[in-house]
Amino acid sequence: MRMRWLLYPRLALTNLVKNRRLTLPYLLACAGTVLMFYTMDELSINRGLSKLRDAATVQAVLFLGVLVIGIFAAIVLYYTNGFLIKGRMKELGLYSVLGMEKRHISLVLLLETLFTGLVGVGVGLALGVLFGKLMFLLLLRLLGETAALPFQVSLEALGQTCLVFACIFALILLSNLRSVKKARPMELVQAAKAGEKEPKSSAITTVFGLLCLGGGYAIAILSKSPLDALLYFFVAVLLVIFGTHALFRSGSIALLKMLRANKRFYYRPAHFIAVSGMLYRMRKNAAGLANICILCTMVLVVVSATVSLYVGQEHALRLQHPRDVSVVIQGQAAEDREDADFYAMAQQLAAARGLALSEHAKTIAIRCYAEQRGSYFDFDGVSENVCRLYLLPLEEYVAMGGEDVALQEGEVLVFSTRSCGYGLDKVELLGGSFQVKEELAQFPIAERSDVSLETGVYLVFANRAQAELAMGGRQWEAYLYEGFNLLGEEEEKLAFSSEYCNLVNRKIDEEAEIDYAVASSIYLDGQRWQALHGGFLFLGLFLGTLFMMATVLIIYYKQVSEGLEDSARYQTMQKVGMSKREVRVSIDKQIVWVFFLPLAAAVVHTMVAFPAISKMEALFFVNDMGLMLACTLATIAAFSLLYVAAYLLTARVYYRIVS
Amino acid sequence: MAILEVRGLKKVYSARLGGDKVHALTGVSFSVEAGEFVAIMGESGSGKTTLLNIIASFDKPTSGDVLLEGKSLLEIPDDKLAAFRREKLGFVFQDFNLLDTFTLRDNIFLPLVLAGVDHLEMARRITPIARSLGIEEILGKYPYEVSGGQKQRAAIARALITNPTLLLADEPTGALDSKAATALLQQFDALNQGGQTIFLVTHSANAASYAGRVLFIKDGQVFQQIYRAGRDRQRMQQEIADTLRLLSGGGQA
Repeated sequence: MRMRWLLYPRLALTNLVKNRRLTLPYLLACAGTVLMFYTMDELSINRGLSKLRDAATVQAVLFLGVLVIGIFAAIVLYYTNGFLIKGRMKELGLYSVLGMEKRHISLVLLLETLFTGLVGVGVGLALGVLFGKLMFLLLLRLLGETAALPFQVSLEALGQTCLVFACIFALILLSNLRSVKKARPMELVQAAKAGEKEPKSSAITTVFGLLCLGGGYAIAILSKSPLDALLYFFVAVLLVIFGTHALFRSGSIALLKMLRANKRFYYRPAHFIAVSGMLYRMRKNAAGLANICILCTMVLVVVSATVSLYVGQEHALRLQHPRDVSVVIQGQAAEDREDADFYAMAQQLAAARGLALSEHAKTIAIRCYAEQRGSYFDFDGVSENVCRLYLLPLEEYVAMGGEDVALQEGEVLVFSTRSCGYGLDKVELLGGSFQVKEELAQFPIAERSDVSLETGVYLVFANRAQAELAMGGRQWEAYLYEGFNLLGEEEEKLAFSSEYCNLVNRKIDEEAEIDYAVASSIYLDGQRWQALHGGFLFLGLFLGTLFMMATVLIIYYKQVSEGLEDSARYQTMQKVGMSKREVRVSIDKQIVWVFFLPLAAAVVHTMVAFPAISKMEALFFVNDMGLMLACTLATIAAFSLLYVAAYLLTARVYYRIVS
Repeated sequence: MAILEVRGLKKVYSARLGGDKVHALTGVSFSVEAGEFVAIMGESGSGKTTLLNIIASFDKPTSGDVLLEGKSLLEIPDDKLAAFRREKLGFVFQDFNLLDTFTLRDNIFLPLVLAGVDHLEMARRITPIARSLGIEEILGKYPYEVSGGQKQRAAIARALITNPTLLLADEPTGALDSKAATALLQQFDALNQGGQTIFLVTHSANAASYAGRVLFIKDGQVFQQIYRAGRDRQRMQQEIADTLRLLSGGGQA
């Protein structure tokens, strides 16, 4: 009796060990996804982390990661299990033929799943606990946090991870049990022998694929504003996924058939076997290759986007903050506060901290919105091409450090925040037409960038009366800007910023009639951004690793299953006179084509997505095209290296099976 | 002139962990003249597959030599072996060994493609062979779309398209029904009439009865050989059956 009970666990264990070429990568994938899920989950609820200033933002970003990893882990493990169980159908069929009942087979499968799950989750969690602290420190570093925060293993995260993966394994077990239930023994034994039909390439599918891909590409390239890019990007992603699948399925077959029709090309030793082999398995393969391509694209997009965000934030901060610290007041109050001495307050506070102030700039401008049509600014039209107009007198421009130009009445200096500038020789407003004396290439309190949705146009008039005249009797708002830079210790700057902004904001709050006022500092924002972008980068790298792992896994299982399929074929070829070297060459050719096609397609996808992604990053004020391009290209290069490494590793497995 | 000469062939397999040695061939010698149709017979385990594998250069003997057109197979370096096999030998296997990724036409072309022959030359060569084998109409089909007999005829076409010195056939009728088998053997007969040297391994007395000479192998040695010498097939088949009975009877004794 005792023996009988031991039989099934032993059988299950033997199966796992015997099939280790298939089960080991699966086990690694389990452990890997568990490790990632646990780490992300642990960080998203970490108590130490919640002591950070911007903990809510960071942990919200991380929680997003927990969801994505959880869902993705389920998909990856389910998919991989599909490979496994398909390869083992024959073995299970043999058990059935040998007289094992289906419930016994089910028991074996249950035990196998249990063992796999226990080992996978166990190893994953052990590694998670081991590397948890390391990840924690990495995250802190990316967040720019220097304070030593406590880290302890979270039982809650351990529990959640176990629960989530128990569900995933239960799901996988159910699907395995169902496929055993459906199968008949003889079918199982002979499953591999079924004849394959030559794949058909349907013109409709090809056209559909081209339309989808073209549509997705068009959205990515043509979307003009960051908001458009954001709104339609999801649609573009879906279109590209559909297009990729359709084109890999039928486009590749059409292409291969074309190659086959070219006799001079086709009847060459290397091409002959490669083309026919690819054509033969393309239908089955197309989905796998398309998935690899999409995963690669995901890695590239996610990593390059988060890296550019992180790297680009410094430049973006400066765009947002022409001065280190600034106070902005809008509305009637701005004029009343002309005498308010924010600067004196700052001087006082700064002196106490050993900081010096420099490049003080202050202006009270007229601010209004207008629609630009050529050189005419329409105060009533606000639908398209909206500009923020700032009208100020020459004396204030000079006071802020601008060049003292002899400006007549009826003349203006113009500065536009668009990178292409203003470009016209006059400015027409309700109150009259003004000749552009000079277009300024830079302005003390504004930076050129196309990040913002609206253009800022700064007009410098001969005097305040001229500026008011230009408004043509319209109601307008005063806009007070006061800003200065800080010189001194970094830590003191941050402390000063915090103290000063609090003080000013409290003071402004007390005065009820002020509509909009805010004091801000590049150091405070920098910290906030670092938290957000560091969180994003951490998430991006994490997800990139996860997608990469899935890619390698799919490639591996493709190589193994194809190697098993091909070994008989290559034996036959050797029998009719193919040398080992020729076999190797033709295998190389075939694998290289098949595996570098997805990578090439992914790189094209990423490059096409680049304009849309760079526009979306503009929403985070990151707008340095050169830098973003460099980040994207670096990501592509790094990923390609990893991909080649993965390919070489798995190609070896293939060779070993085939020869 | 002897096309194939087998001299004192021995083959010993040893188990991986130094266990018992298996003597598959214990000293086989014979020769095949140009234009001959020779059949090798023997029971399972008699060593006939080992013999065929060595003649086909898939395997190397422990001692002894095989000469094809007077040239020793053992002297051909490994990297030239594939080209040699492709040019001199044509193979027909029991399970056809057609590649399911190719149409019948491309399967037949395979050795020529490997030899780097121009595709126009290939097209020129396939026409007469396909016509004589009656597979002209189905050249564009895939192996899984045609019958076993048609597959085997395509395999013969593949073996013949390089104009091989020697056609090696390993149980070619093993996977065919009797009608297809008879058609195939008549095909072999016709090929032999046309001057093709054929070396056939089989354990079917009917298949062997088409040959001009039958060698019987037992326990790794040539046990006996009989010549057809003008007898009709029925008589030949009868004599083969008698010899086989003797062979297995001897085994029991």
